[in-house]
Amino acid sequence: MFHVVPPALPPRPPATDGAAVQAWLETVILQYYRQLYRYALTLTGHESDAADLTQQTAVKFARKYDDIREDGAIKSWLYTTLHREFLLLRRRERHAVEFQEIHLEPDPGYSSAQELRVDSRTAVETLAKMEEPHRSVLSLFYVEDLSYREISEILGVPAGTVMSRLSRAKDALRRLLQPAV
Amino acid sequence: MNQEQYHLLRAARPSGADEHEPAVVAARAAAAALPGMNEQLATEHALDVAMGSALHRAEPPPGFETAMLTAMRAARGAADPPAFLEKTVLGAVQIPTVSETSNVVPFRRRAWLGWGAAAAAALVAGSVHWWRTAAFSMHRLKRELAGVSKSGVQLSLMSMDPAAINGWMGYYKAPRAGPLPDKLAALPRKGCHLYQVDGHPVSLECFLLPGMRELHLFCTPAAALLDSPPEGALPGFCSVEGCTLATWTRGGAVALLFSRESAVVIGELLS
Repeated sequence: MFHVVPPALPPRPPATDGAAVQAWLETVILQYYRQLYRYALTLTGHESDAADLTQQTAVKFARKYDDIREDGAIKSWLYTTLHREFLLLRRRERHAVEFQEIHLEPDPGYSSAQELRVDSRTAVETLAKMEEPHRSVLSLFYVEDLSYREISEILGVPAGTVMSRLSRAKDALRRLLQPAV
Repeated sequence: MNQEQYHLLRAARPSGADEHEPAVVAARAAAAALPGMNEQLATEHALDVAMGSALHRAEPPPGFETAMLTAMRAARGAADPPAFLEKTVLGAVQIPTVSETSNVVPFRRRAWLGWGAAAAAALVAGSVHWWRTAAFSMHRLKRELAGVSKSGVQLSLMSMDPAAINGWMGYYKAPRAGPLPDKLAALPRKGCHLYQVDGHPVSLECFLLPGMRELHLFCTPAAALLDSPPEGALPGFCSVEGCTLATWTRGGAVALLFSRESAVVIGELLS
C-alpha cells in the first residue's frame, strides 16, 4: 500500500527559544511539504504555481504557528491554509486552470523533470480537468489518504457533503480516465 | 444497502485505515449481499490505489526544499530586501520576503477596495509598464548591485554542488554569461539566486575564496542594458562603492563580478 504513516512530530519547544523553534518548524514542514506540494500540483496543474503555494504555506506556518493550539491540528492547518491560498491565487489572478496549458516539464533542457512518469502526469492532468470541488476532495483523498472527516475539516464542508462529493468525483474521474483504464 | 453506506464505502481510504469502523464493517456486509457490488468496489479500489501511487511519484522541483526553508527563515526575522528588487524567482517559485508576505493580509482585508484600486492601478500600471521593462543603464545596475553585494546577498539555493546550482539555474532559466573563466569556475560555490530588476532577470552565483570571502557574480541579458560591454571583449575593471567590479559579455549575457578583493586578485582569477 502506498500510504506511509509519518513519524510523530517532535514536541514544540518554548517560544522563547528562537533557535529551537526554528529547528522545530523546519522539522515539521520537512515532514509535510512533499504532500502539500502534490496537493497544490493537483489543484493548480502547474509545477511553478504548486511550488509557490507550498512555499507560501510554509512561510505562513513559520509566522503563525503559534495560532495552532494543538500540534495534532498542524497537518489540517497546513492543508487548509494551502487551499485558501489557492483560492486567493485563483481570485487574484483569475487563474482558471486550462488543461490545454498544463506544463509539467519545467524546461526541455533540464533532464530531471523527466522523472515525472507518464502515469503521474496523467493523474495530475486528469485531476486538473475536474471541477474545483471535485479536484480538491479527490486530491486530499489520494495524496494524503485522508478520511472524509479530515477532508471535511480542511475544506470546511459537512462530512456528508464530502462523502457524496467524493462519490460524484470518482464517477467523473472514471469517465475522464475511460480511455486509459 | 442504502445510499449513505454506498457513499461511505466509496469514501473509505484506499490504505484500509477505515476498515475497522463499525459503520464501514456494516456497509461491507450490506454490499456483500448485493450481486456485483463487491466487484465494483474492488475495481474502484484498484483505481484509487493507482491514482494514489501515481500522485505520490510527483516530486517538488530541485532546490525547492532549500528555497522554502530560506523563505521560512526570512519570514522569521530577515530584513526587507532592497526596494528596487522585485519578487525574486522569475516566472516560477517566488520567494516571499517579509514585505511580500505581509501584503497578503491587507489584500484580504481591503478586498472591497479592489475594484476602485484596480481601475486606478490599471491607469498607473499602463503608463509605468513601459518604463519598468525598458532597458536600464549599466551605471545604474552597477550602483544597485554594489549595494546588494555589500549588504549581503540572499540565496534561494544554498549549495556547494555545481550540478545542483546548474540544475537550479537551468530550471528557473536564470541568465548566464557563457562559459566562465576556468579559475573562476573552479572555485567552490555557496549558492545562487534569481532577482528581477525592472522586469529583467538578474541571476546571482556566489563563489567562495579561501577564508569564506565571497565573490558575487551577477548576470543579466545584454538586451536588458542600454550600454552593455561589447560581446567577447576582455573583462573591464572599475571600483563601485568600495567594491571591485569586473564586467564582460559572453553569449548575449552581461556578467558583473563584485568582490572586496583587489583588481589584481580578480584579474588573476579571470585570466
